[in-house]
Amino acid sequence: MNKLPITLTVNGRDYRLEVEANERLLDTLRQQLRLTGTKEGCSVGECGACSVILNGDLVNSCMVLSAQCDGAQVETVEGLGTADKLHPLQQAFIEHNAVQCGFCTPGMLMAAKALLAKNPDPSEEDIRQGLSGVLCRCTGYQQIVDAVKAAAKEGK
Amino acid sequence: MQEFDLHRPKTVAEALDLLAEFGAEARVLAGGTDLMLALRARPGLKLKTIVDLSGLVELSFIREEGDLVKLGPLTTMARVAQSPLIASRAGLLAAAAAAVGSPQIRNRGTIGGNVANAAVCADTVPPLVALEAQVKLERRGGERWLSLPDFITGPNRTVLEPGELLTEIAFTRLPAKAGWGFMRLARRQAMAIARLNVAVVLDRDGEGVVTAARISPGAVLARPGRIAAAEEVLLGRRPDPALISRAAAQVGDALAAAGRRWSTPYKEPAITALTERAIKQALEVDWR
Repeated sequence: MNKLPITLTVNGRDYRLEVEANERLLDTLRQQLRLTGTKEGCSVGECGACSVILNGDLVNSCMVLSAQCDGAQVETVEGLGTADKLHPLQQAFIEHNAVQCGFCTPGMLMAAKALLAKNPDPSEEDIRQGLSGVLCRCTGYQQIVDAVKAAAKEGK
Repeated sequence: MQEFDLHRPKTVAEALDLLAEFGAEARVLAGGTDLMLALRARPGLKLKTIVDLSGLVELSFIREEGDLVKLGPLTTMARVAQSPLIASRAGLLAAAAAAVGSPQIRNRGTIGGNVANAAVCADTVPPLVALEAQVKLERRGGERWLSLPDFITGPNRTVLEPGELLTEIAFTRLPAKAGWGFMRLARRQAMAIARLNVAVVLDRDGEGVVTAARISPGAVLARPGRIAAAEEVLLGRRPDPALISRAAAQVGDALAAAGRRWSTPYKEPAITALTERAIKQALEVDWR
């Protein structure tokens, strides 16, 4: 198996990395860069826990090889806000009790961010569509939809 | 995850060279939404070499040349679903692409991958069959064009030979006043693989008489195709509810004739009802 050199910009920071041919973007983020906010759920593209934004598009990082991301821009949940200054989506998730066990939360936040970047004034249906690729096993969907709605309103 | 060597060609010519060199050892990787899964889930699938196509920007396009619509195989489902050109020239294809997976899957999964992976449930295949699409297969020093029913020979089986690459999908746009329908049935709305799907194209003359009919169900037959018996029921006639039901019933019959399985008693009435709805959807346009 060969190793490949890539450059990657993650949350605004540039990296030069060597990746294994079969290394997934999820592995690079969690193991090489120690950005463990992105979660591994099903590993087969069904649950969306590993969702990140790749060159502006929401993707499952378990289904992308890192070597396919040479030169790419990646946004993960770590890039959203800081403990002192939360992102409006993070603040809204707290205010609407949109976090139960929390495992889906990074994926939900990134799905919501990708949605609002393309559609700042989404309908409830748009929000449900935008979040449809992330599963919440606690089934707390309504609070999550409410939080995204509130964050969209805030952003206007 | 299996181990393999990965190659990242920058041009189609380079990709064809790699495919010629590695032959049957190599598989191509496009959006990865099928192959990445297979690499983990199917230990029997031993691949020595993967040729990653994601650097081939020249294979991601949607173009119109006269009446022809041409799609690059690396065009993502999201782009097909959102393309105003596809919406106005072949709306059924946009509807099918929008129905695939989740936003995450549509942002990565490609139309060429959907066709070449040749799953019986592939949502874009019935519309492409109804559009009479052709696929271009290139190899070093040659190319051939095939219709989808000739390209896909069975579940996950195509006539693609070692060294060949799918490089274009082309079809003639629908006539301006033609109607189309696309319906699918899955276990839930988001992220579910289609159990059944069907694409319909109907054209009518000024009197409302059907002059062209193409009915293409998915996940019904072992290989993609149209149901001529259903199309003949509609051709030359003005559709009414009884005629629509008769045409749809032909699709149910075709499913039963393809071989009875445990799912047949469920699938037969389901595909009949789906086809009926797709025909009605195709008749919603104003043909005058």
